[in-house]
Amino acid sequence: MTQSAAAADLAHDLVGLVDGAGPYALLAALFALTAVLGQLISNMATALIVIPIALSAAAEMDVPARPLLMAVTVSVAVLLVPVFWSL
Amino acid sequence: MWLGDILEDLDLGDLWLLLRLGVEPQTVLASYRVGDSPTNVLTPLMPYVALMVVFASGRVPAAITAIGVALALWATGVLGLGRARRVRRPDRDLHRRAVRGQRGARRDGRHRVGGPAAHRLGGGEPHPADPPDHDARRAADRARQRQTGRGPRSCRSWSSWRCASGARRRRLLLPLAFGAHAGSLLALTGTPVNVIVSDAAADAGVGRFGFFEFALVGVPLVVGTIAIVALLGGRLPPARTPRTIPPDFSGYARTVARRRRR
Repeated sequence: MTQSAAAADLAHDLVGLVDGAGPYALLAALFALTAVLGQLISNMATALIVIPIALSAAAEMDVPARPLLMAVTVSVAVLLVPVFWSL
Repeated sequence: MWLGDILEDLDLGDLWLLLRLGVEPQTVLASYRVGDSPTNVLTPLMPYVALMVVFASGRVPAAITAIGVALALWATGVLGLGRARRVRRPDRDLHRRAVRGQRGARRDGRHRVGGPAAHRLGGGEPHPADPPDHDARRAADRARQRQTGRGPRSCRSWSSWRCASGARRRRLLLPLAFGAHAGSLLALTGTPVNVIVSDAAADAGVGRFGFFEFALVGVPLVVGTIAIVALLGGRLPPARTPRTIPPDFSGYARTVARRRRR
């Protein structure tokens, strides 16, 4: 995702979406994206998809990456349908 | 069928098809989750989903399923024809004993839907196929329960499965899943995702996460989960009666265990 610049593109879209609303809005948007993806594909795959996006978005907005990564970890664990919980 | 509509919208067509064929939603989703497991990297399990659903539905005679598996292994190039045929040989014996071991198994080879274990999980009256000693113990437990208003004597801890009545037992399962899930955020080794994120942080040059660093979020999450379960847990899960009782595979497990011991 990093090599194909897909991560950077998606991160750019995400940053554009929360345009000017600050790092907390970015955190919320990332949380929502991860939670939605996590309901459909396995947790690990979701994490591997979203982590590059989070890192690119953090670099683009010039905010620390660790809180964003923490948000990814938590939102991957969001459990709406128990059966959709991957092992 | 709202689940079917959702699956159709999500383009999970195969699962929707299984639902249309009348397979119980919980069976379909559980199979999907097994098939979509993290071990997919090592052994793709998705091809086995059809087998699991066919086997668990109990509508196809087990012998047909077994032959179908052998054919599928050959057709997908996993095994050559000779080995695919041999796959059946030990299994035939195993299966015969399993079917005999399952009390009340149907004569046409299909496993009976809803054996003793399924019946016990449902919290109903003792199943006719329950062994007599089990019946006696349950009867004694029930008599004591009526007299003292307390649970069976064999129930020492509050978590014991036998403590709760059938309806309550079912309601413990959902909190169990949610609690285990919330607890996974307490330590680095809680889930593989934690390790992946920590490694990604190290690669990105922002430093690994400490062993208990996820607990910063994990502790409030666990506390919140406990609060929700304690305050609302009784009312949140819907009271639902499945149309069919899933098949009881306990006989198969016993047979496999006996065979392994030899």
